[in-house]
Amino acid sequence: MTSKSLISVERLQVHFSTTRGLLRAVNNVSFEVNRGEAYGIVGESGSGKSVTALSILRILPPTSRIGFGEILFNGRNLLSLSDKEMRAIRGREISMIFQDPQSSFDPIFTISNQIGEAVSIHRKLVTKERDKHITMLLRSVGIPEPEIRKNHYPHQFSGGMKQRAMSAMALSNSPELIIADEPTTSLDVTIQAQIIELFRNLIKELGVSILLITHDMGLIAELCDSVSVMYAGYIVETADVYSLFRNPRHPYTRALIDSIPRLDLDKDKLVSIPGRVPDPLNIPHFCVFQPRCNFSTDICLGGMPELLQVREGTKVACYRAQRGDL
Amino acid sequence: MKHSASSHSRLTLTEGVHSKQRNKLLLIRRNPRILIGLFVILGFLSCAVFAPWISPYDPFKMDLLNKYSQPSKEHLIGTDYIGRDILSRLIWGTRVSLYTSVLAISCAAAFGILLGVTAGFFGGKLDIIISRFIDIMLALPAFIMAIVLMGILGRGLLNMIIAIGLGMLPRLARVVRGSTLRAKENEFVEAARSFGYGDWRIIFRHIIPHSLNPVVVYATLLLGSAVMIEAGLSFLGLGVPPPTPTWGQMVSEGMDVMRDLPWISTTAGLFIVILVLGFNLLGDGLRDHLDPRLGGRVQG
Repeated sequence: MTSKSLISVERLQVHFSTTRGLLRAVNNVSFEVNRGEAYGIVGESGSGKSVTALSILRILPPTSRIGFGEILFNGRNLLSLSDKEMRAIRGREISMIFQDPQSSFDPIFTISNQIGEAVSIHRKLVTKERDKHITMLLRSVGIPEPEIRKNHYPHQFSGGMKQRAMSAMALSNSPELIIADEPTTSLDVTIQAQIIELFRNLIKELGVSILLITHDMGLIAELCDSVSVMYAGYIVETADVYSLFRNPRHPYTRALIDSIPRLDLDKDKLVSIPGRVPDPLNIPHFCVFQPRCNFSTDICLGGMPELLQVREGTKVACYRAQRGDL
Repeated sequence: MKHSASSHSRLTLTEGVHSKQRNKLLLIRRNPRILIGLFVILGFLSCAVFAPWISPYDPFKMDLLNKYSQPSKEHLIGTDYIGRDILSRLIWGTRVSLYTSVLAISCAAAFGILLGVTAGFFGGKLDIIISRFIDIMLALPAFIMAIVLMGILGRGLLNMIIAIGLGMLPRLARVVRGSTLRAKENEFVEAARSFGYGDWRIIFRHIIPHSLNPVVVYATLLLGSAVMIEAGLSFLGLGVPPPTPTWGQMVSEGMDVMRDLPWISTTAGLFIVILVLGFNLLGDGLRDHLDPRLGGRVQG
């Protein structure tokens, strides 16, 4: 690992035991986020991207089990830390922004109360200093009149403002990594653009890394430097954002990019990928995308392909792409 | 769901502090049971607190020459079998009833919340153990359990609080467990965890406040039951030992002379009924007020 790397996930495997059997949510997932980088994980619902994010902070539900793998953060394996050591990392070195800003604040406390609590868990500050810190945080994420707004309750904030406040809370202990799980999904488009702009500034000015979990290819293109595409619990392609969009190698990535609605091309119908995501309780033992793939041959039925480098910066898990067919 | 409903109503109805207060008053006026219940309970509470000043006689002072006197100007409800003023004893009896019921329910609520929250929040084996324990306790009617416990522990105020409280504890614990299961699904609980909150910090800060509404309602209703059980125990001679005046005991004392002097039992019984009614009215009113599903009706 180079010193550039902030967090590297190695062969992570997360399973859930359900009443209907073993649910293999995340399989053999490896990726690496560098300092000051925005890293995207893109995939459909149920592709295991959120589970990957939650397992970094180790806040998965109790029915889950991290089978094996390593999550190295600043050289420390998060999976081998004690609960207490892990709590010290949550919110302090790694923090998280959730999908729905409406419900990620407790409606019965003011914004400043909740940010203050998040601060005081990790740092002892006198009330006056903490107050100043909260005002500063809210101002830095672009909330107007922070001295007044901080004493308001969550329901007095709009969705976009709440997501800004959530970002302020995530920033409150100057973490090195922020995990943003679908941060703009519940916001309308103009607000989305503002939040992306905010994230860009955070990276530029504070040097934080952002791990963006999304299903929105557009958001990835706007914000991220590198991307992993997840499908049915596997990473099928990893690349920098330019190569991924200009020259996608995995058939699934191609299909995803083709299905982005475009105004500049004269197409009547939205392109969709035929077939369905495999049942997570019954993931095929061959290439997971094979049943929906237009390029599949017999070779694709011989086990899930490894994620291998096909050119500088691009790794892909597809037999045919690895052979250079695609 | 609950929060979005309540915060929504607050959002639309509050423009300033004044309208917020008016809104609250309006709710109470539209939901008069809260007001009536509070009125009754406050009445009894002041009886209990100011008993030495408002009761016309010393409730312990015997006057054997004047026993079983009819209601008169001197003794508004007459005197009992050793000539003690019944009205004074009724007023003093409020103390025992309120004291035992409130303390028993408070203790039951405190331990019930702890037990229910632990079961609901941590789940798994702990939940199974606590839930089965609650089920076993619930299988025994609270009154029977109180009688048994009083038999074991012996008469006395503290023992009665324990006996009644233990009967109420599983009921409250079960309610808390249910609302905890709901409260912990909130995304802010997951968010809190992602910020490094420990389990107990999450419980005290986010879970308990969000599971309190049904507890408040149910505890108020159980206060009525507690008064009934206390009166029942005293009636059976298992409550606070004499000469301390209690309503249940007075009902029992009046039984011997029910045909000639019916007011002794009936007035004490009436006091019990009114206090229980007060608690039930308040509990019902609070339930309608706090239940978001009835929000539309309460707001008209």
